[in-house]
Amino acid sequence: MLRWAGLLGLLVFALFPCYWMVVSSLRPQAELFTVPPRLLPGTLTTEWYAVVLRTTRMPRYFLNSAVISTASMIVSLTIATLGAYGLTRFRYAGQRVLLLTALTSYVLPPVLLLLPLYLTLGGLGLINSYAGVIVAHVTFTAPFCLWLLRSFFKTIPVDLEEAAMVDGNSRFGAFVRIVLPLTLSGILSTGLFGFILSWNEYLFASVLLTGEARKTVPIGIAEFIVQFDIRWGEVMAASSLATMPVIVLFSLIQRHFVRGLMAGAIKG
Amino acid sequence: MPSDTTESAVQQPGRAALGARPRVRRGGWSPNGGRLGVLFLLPTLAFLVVLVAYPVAYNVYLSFQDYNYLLGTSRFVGLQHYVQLLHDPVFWRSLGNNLVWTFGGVGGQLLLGLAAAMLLDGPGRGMALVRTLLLIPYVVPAIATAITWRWMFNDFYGILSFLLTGVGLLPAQTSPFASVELAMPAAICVGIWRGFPFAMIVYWATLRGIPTEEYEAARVDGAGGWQEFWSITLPHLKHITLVLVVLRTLWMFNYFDLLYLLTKGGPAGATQHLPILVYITSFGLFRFGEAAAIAGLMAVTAGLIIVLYVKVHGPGEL
Amino acid sequence: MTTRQRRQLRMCLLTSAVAVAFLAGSVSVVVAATEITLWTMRTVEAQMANLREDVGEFEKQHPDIKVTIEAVPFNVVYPKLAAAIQAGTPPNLFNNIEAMVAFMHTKGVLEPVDDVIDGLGREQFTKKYLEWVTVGAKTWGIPDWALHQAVYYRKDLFAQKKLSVPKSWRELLDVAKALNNPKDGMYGMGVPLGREFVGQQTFGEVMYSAGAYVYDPVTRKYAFDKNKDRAARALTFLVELYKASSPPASIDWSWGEYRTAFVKEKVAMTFEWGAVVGQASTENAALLDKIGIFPFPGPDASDYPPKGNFGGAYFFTVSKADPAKVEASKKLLRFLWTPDRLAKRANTRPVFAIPPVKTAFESATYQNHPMVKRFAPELRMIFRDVMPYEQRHGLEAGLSPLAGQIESSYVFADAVQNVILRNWTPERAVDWIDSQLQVMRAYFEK
Repeated sequence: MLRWAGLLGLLVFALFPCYWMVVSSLRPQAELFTVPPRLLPGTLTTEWYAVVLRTTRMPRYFLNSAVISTASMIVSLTIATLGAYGLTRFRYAGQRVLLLTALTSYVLPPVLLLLPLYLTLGGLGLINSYAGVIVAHVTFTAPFCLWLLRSFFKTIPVDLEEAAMVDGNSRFGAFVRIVLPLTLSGILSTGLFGFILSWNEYLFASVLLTGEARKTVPIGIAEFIVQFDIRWGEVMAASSLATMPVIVLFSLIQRHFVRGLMAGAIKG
Repeated sequence: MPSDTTESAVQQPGRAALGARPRVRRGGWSPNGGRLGVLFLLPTLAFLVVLVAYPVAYNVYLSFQDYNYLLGTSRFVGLQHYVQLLHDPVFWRSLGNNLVWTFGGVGGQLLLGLAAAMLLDGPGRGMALVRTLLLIPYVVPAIATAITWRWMFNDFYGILSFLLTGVGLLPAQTSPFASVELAMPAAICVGIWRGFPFAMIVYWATLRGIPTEEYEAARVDGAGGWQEFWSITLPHLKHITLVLVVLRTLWMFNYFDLLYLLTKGGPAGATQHLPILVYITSFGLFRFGEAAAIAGLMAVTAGLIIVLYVKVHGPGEL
Repeated sequence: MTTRQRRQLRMCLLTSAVAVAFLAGSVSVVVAATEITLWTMRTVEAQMANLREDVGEFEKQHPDIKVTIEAVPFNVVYPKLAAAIQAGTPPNLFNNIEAMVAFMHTKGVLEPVDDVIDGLGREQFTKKYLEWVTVGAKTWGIPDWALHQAVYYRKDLFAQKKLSVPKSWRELLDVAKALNNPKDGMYGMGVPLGREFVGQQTFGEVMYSAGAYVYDPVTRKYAFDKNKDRAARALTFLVELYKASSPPASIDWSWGEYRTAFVKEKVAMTFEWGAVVGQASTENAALLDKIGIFPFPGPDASDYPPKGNFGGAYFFTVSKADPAKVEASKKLLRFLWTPDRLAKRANTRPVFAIPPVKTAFESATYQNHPMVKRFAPELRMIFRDVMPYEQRHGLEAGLSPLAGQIESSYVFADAVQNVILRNWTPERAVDWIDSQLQVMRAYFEK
């Protein structure tokens, strides 16, 4: 019984902010500003969503976020899949050093990468371009995917590929024909998680994307607040819109994400 | 959908993919990767050089310059920035805030994550659903998180402010973000909310790996719940806790987005941590050299944490 | 001539005429349109629509000029502009705020616009805005849209308590206290002090009412170190006002919060720039008749309204480029600077935006807007008593890159917050501001 009470408490803790965000986005003006605030919604309205979708540039921002996150995901996955396979299937001199260095980028503060990236991309004329932000996002999605995928690959016994190679496949062929199909869902889930990381990112995008045409969703929402005429309902609606795709995507892949973390955890 | 046990995918694909290409293979897994091995690693190496080594080197170079971005002027100053920073009370306060933010957040995430994992670990239909729902805070965009929590802590209309006032933790009609004492704790709460699912899942996975025989044996010996926890559960969690501590500490220490969007470092610098200081120094004051020095000091601190971990735990694998 | 010869001659002439016409036609087609870029920091849809409309009409009248418009919100303007300047492609026209004019001038990318201003009649412009962007006897921006800061208050509550408009700090404090009733959910005065932008604006308002400047408008030299006493006094009063009558969380308020507070009737007065009117019209229309405006007072009742307040304005600048583009840009400026167009532009945000040009302000287009009509006496008062005395940190003596720096570094807001929350003395805070400003100055004034 205590267990269920605890779980319920946890669920409330975890989900209440999301509930509040969505409810606030559906409340008409009059009900947003009640003292004391009311827990349950009264009348509902979709006016805020209408305003956001029709009069702001949010749809464009969604497109930009989608492009950037997809590209980041693809690049990160390429690096991480090949790298993770290489690290788990071959032995090198200094392998441990290499591994540590690869994970070092996870250690580096984004703000440390920020200035060099900003100046270099500026010099290359890549400020306010998709490419610049994709490069920036890969700096943190690639290590994370590498780490997750390494755990995945370690759970696949080498025997399968050895069998395939005995049958006449090249190592690369074994990789493509044996390992990839087995780990495909894991790879995709890792990739989608990288997608989510990129979608949610704020700092690099805010500094590297400056024009209306390229801004991502988090930047667009942040600007709502800076605008002179803030409307809380609109802000909540925009936040909800930004969060929905992430939650949907995540619920699709969470099983594999968990599996990946588990593999990492148990292997230590 | 591939299952967990990989034996099923065994011989068939190999035979089927034969394509009859009798080749002399230099067989097996050579201890030295060989050319193919390097090829696999090439993208990773390229990534490391271009997106890690180069920016780090550039940052170090920048930190030795007095580079004003607004004017485009640059002047070599050696270690001057570092010396000045180490004498600057604003730097030390930001570092202090960073440590409070980090360890408060990590401690809370781990405790809550462990509690959640233990609650999840056990029978019950719908556990998978509960687990999924509890993971949601981890993926909500930082901007949406910051906006929603600020709204909930709003002085007049915030539901949380209202509740806190009700239990006497907050004066009426104000917000924790307007107080030097309460701003950081409130921010840490948000940080805990955001990060606990990660710890929860890792702990949950570990708990599942603890063999039940140990618990049965203990019960036969007459151990109670609490003792089981101490003598069986905890030792199994020791290693993973260390891993979690390192990972989450590094992550929180360097995390810019959430705290900046929540408070911009105010009020009166009470929630200004080092990443925010770097941001203000570079895009507020345009002193890129100084900002690079701060970032460099941050990285050194993070590196020290890793060294500590390796010393305590031994150079195993992460 | 024989008939045949005449026919041949006619053919020749005809062919030549056709050839000449063809050539003439093709030459004018071959001459390409001049393309210019226009960036604007006014990104709200109503403003963009108005700009697009005007530009569209201009392009119709000048088919040889093509204008590309781009919106630039002000929280990303520095990196974007810096990158463009570095790449050698600053926008031909930039609709920006005063700090940006300073920045671009420092980078040396601007063309002076004296010819445009003189052509329109320099006396028509409210002088103060021209002074901000004049340096080296040349004017580097043309004022487009004036902002103002004043105290917006509840006339009905004043009447209830038989209060009159305060003319000094002391009187303001008394009025704020009289209206302060937190138990009933109404505070006397909203004093917004958020770290990003707002705290500086509020502190600036009080500072200027006391005659404390960063640069001295007369001597054109750095003056904050000599103004420390006055600044400290202003800071003391500001803190007193906050503690006596403002909601405590206002120390963290930005524009949205204090406007919502006023519109939702949580504060009887507030520092404000006029947007409250727009917000009230959609959220609490009944409030509109109760809103009044008075200039923020100075320490001394006999000097009311004070000759200093914290304001702002939007400008247009022209960047250096090849002569055709510069000329095209100036043509567009002259087109946009008719009284009617200025008035329409300002009325995309009535009361918040005021045309800084007399003919535009008094035009029928401006005065006939329903919201302007409603606040006509107040707007006249602002035009007469507030706008001519506006100041902005760092611009009191003309363009200086310090202006933007001060804004983006939170110096003034941090000082106020430290006095309130960390028990700094006003003297210490003011010393600290001075030291921060001196460090910034050291880069620009070697």
